[in-house]
Amino acid sequence: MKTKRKNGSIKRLLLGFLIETVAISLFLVLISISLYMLMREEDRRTSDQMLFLNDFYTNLEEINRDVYTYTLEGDEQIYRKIADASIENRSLLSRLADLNVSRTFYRSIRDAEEMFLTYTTCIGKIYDHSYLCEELTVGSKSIINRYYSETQKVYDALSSEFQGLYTELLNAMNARRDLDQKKHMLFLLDLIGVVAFVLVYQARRIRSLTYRVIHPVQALTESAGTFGDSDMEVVRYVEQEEGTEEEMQKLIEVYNSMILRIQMQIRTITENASAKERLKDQELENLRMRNLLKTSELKALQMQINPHFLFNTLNMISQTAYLEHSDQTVCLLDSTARLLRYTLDNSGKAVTLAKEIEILGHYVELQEYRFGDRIQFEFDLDESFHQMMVPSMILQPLAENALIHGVGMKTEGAWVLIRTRYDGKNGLGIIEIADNGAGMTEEELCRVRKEMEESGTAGKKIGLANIAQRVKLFFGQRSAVEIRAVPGKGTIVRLLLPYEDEKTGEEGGGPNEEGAGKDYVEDTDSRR
Amino acid sequence: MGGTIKKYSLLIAANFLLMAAIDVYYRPSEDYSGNLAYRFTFVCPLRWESVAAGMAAADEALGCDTKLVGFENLNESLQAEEIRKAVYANVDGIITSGYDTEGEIADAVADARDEGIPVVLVESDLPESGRNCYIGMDHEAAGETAGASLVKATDGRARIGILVSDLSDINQAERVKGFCSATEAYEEMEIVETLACESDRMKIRKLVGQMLEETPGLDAIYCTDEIASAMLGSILEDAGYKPGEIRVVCFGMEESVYEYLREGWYSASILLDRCETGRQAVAWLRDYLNGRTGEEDVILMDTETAGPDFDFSSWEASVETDGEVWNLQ
Repeated sequence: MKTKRKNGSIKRLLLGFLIETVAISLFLVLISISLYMLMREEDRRTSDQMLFLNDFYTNLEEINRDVYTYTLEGDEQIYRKIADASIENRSLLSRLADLNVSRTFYRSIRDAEEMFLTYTTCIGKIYDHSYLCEELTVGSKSIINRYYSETQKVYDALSSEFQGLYTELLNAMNARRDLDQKKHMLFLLDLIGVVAFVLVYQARRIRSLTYRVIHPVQALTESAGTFGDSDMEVVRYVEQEEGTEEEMQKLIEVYNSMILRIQMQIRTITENASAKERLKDQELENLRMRNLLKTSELKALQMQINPHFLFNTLNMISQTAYLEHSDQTVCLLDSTARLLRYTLDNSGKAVTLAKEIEILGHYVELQEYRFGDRIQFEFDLDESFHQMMVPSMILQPLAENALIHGVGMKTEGAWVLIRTRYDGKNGLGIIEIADNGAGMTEEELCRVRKEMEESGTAGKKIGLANIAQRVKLFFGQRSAVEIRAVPGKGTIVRLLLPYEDEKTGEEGGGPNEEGAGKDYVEDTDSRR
Repeated sequence: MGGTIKKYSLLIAANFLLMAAIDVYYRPSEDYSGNLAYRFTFVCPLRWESVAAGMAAADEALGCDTKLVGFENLNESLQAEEIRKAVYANVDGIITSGYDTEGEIADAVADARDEGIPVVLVESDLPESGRNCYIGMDHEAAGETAGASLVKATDGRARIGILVSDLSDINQAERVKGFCSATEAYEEMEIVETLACESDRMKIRKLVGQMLEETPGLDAIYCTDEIASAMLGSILEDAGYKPGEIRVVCFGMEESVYEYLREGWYSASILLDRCETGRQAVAWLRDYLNGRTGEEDVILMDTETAGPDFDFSSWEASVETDGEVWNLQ
């Protein structure tokens, strides 16, 4: 099933692919930069925290040293310095508190702020007492020392708290770093996932592009490559694969259409050439047929002339023989004339079997005179079906065959039997011409039968085949011409002709409808 | 192409959502910069996780912040120092334990009181220290309960060795006192020796070993020290005793104590709902700062006597902590 893409085009496809690739690359770069910035920001915050805390402790130590000095010297400037440093330290603590490290850290910063307040309060007590006492007596010194001692206790506590803060900050930073590492790992995995997705998706797109554009182009190229190498008939059509780009579909369609047209044209040219060849053959055949026809016409004309000449000649001879009282010669000439007239008048026509047998009798009469006692002709006739119509001149050639090829060379005891009988059961009129002549070998018999089967071919040695063909044409497939022979024993030719007895109404007789009325061209001169 | 842009847009949007979710999920949960209502400090003699869990729950519920300061080993000087640090930090309230053998805790509590910082003592009381509130068991009554349990376990006939943390601690003394009052009615219940182990593991092992060797016919041990309670079973086992051969009644509940109870090494253990103690300590301080309670208060918690059929799993679940952050000293 083809996917129709209304707006699809290779240009749009490639442009889309390029835009996608650029957009995704930009997106991945942006994510990478964001991650890098995030990590930089976190590192910066961590370093700020450490810096503030160190600054705080450094200031604290400095303040404490100044407190010691102030306790000893009571210098106002030192106190101002302490006061300024204290303000700065408070600010540092506030900034540390704002850094939002962790709840426990924030709490510790709050405690530290309060401790530092206590610490500055204690310093303030020292200052207040120094300020109030214009002259430091032993008693006032003792009080100041007590205040200093308190200050140191708070300082120690604050230092201890600082250590705790430092530890907490480190712990918090470690914990945060662990979380950040996990977070970054997940971001990285996410990034890898996105890249993997993009790769897979783009790979699918490339695959799709391959199917839609490259495969069709390859198929076209392969098919086109066979143009020069092979017969155009075997040039294959390019198959339209599912999802092929519309432009490629059109290209393939045009290509296939082109191939089809070329093949059709080639086929037409070939057919025309073949037709011309056939036409040429036909023309040659026609020419040959015309030649044959002319020859036939010539022969026919000759035959039309010759009979008259022959009849006139025969009449003259017969009158001469009659005048000379040669009755036998008159009789022979009469039989010859009858035979000749029958041949001329009924050639290619249907006659009754009785007429055919009658003419055969004239022929036998002539041959008896010729061969004398050497050959005995016998007739065994069942005249019940002799009114059936048969093609003319089908028995005389068989008798002539029996004489010439059968008993012709036999000096004594030769006979030719002409027998007719009606097989009412099968509706067949059976005519047999048998002789006790030379017979035929199996090979000869096969050759004769083969010639009979291939009947219809014009030739000079196909008398029997000619008869068989005419019988088949006249009576149809139910008729048959059989031949049997035994070498040295004789030959029998049997005609099986379908005949319907009018009295019994049985099937048989009558010419085949298809063959009825047709003229049978025969070549009686060229019997076997 | 439109479909592809939509897909990639969805991918980018989903990815941003995913990254934001990851960022939120992995943001440190303890980030906190707001002002806390009250700052309390719990200076614990050791690390009482269950008490801390109760405090954490109360903090969450009442909007307070209780800083946990604990120690690996008992050290009253350090404990007192931490109390004073809390005083310097001007916290809103201090919670600590009144286990005090040297008087240092009492002094630190007094200093806090002088600075106007309320102090709640849990587990052990120092009535004379000027603390504001005591929340814990009635040690004498708990001693009586322990005595009754031992009488029951021994049918009123036993030669008893007593192991305490320090007899100078009034709470320990009250536990012994209560125990004695419960057993004095039984003539055949004889306390043959009382030893102070100072919650020192080495000393506990040494003293108990000596007691077992040097006190013939010892039938029972009454242990008021919770660290010793967790060790007695193994000491008896190492000494070749069999479960039940020497009856033990002790204080506290740990997994080892539960195992000894279950296996028959111990007859009973007296325990307190420490989680509730912590919760009540925070709640009391908050109420005090809000003027809802008096200047001084004593809240006595009920004790429970755990036997072999003690439901340790439920108890453990009830005192389970979320890994509270301790400032270990």
